[in-house]
Amino acid sequence: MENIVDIKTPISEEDVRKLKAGDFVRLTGEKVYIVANSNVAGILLDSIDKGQPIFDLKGSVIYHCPCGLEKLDGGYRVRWVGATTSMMSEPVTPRLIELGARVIMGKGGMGKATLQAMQHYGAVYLATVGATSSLLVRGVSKVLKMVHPDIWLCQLEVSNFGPAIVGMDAHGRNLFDEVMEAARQKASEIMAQWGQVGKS
Amino acid sequence: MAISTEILVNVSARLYEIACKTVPADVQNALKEAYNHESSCLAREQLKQMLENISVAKEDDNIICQDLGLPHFFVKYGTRVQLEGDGDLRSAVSKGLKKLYEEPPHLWTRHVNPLNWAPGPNWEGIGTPFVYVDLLPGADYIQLTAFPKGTGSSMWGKVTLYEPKHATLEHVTKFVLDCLFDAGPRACPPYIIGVGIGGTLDSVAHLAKTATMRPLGKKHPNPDIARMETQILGSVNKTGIGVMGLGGDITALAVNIDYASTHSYRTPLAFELNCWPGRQASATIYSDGSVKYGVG
Repeated sequence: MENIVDIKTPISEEDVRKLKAGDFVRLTGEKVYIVANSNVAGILLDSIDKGQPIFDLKGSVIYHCPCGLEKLDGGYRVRWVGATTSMMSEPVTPRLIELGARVIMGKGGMGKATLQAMQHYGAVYLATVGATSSLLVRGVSKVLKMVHPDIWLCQLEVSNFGPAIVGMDAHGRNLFDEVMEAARQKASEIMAQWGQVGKS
Repeated sequence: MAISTEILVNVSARLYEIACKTVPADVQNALKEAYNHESSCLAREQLKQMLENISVAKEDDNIICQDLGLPHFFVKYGTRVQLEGDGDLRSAVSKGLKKLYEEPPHLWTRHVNPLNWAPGPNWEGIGTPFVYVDLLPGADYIQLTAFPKGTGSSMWGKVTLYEPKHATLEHVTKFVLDCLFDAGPRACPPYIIGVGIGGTLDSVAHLAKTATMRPLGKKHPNPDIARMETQILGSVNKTGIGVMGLGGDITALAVNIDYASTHSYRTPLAFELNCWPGRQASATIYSDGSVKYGVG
């Protein structure tokens, strides 16, 4: 495998500006927030706007994950922790990055506004492999703070979580967009062959 | 001898658990094959993690994907089979799912009301689980297949009913590629793609969905359809969308097509996909109460 970059939270701007699209990253630290989608992020942003922030976003990881949280005596255990589709969080992500999030993690990539915020403030998108929950759960050490178990809003401590792939970097590259653009070109070529058959 | 409700409940629960914790052998083989032939380093690393996840899920007795899905059960019901009591198969399946949460392995998921997105109790929903019954004339057994359908893999299906052309390779390829580009990388490729041709609204969609359940590597018995499957798979993989949309040689593990006759001069088409784990599990329940797990 390629070299893996180990990154610890809180993550600095310098840490993420060093990363390039296609790098492999493993995460360790206590500032990993499970914020599965825009609705859940809305609750977090509301708390910040009201001056009573649920989490401190500076140097944090936002993970798009509807995880499986099992209540135990005195806390919670994470049973499953795979990523969900990140585009569901596109409307709120630029603001989360502006407020200090350095890593946005999920699957499937994100849009232009998020990429611009990543360039401007210094942040990256980490792509986990979809449907690899059992593998990823081994990287979770514990649930540090539970805010709302029904919507999975909580803070995790992770250790060697991943490796995930830098899908969007702080230098304006979005691997997902690049791949889809090339794919569209290929599809046009595939369809054009029938056009040529028709003409000949 | 009648098959007891208790057996139906237990087998339903066990099948759904197996479907959530394992990946069918044919899919595992296809992933290994993809790993051996893939030229993209990013794709290979991700295929490796997928294969590792299958092993870790087994070691840790854990699930493959956090999305336990909307439960679908496909039943092939032998016409000589008798069920105990009122024979309420659907209720037995529902009880089996409830048991998954109430007893070990304690798996749960909640489905929402489409009118207001209010979640229901674990595993309980309006009109769910979806149970489809087909008949096996003269057989004295039931084949039961659990098919969890996750959110991502449920979002990109498409049906078009008034296509004023017959289903040429060009036509179907264009339809599949258009649907594929709508989905992009968002439903965990490499995909298992199902295509339905012909029928009506529900039947064409059903053809596409059940086509995603066909064992990988098994082509359609009609050689024209089989050829179309191979050619469209080639086109899909040429796009280079690759594993999880980060590029590579393999975008789909299979394109499976099924077809039925339709009304004159129009061709319904349906597209459905499944995410890479292709989760499903089957068992055969015999009239004497014995159960054999595995593909029926």
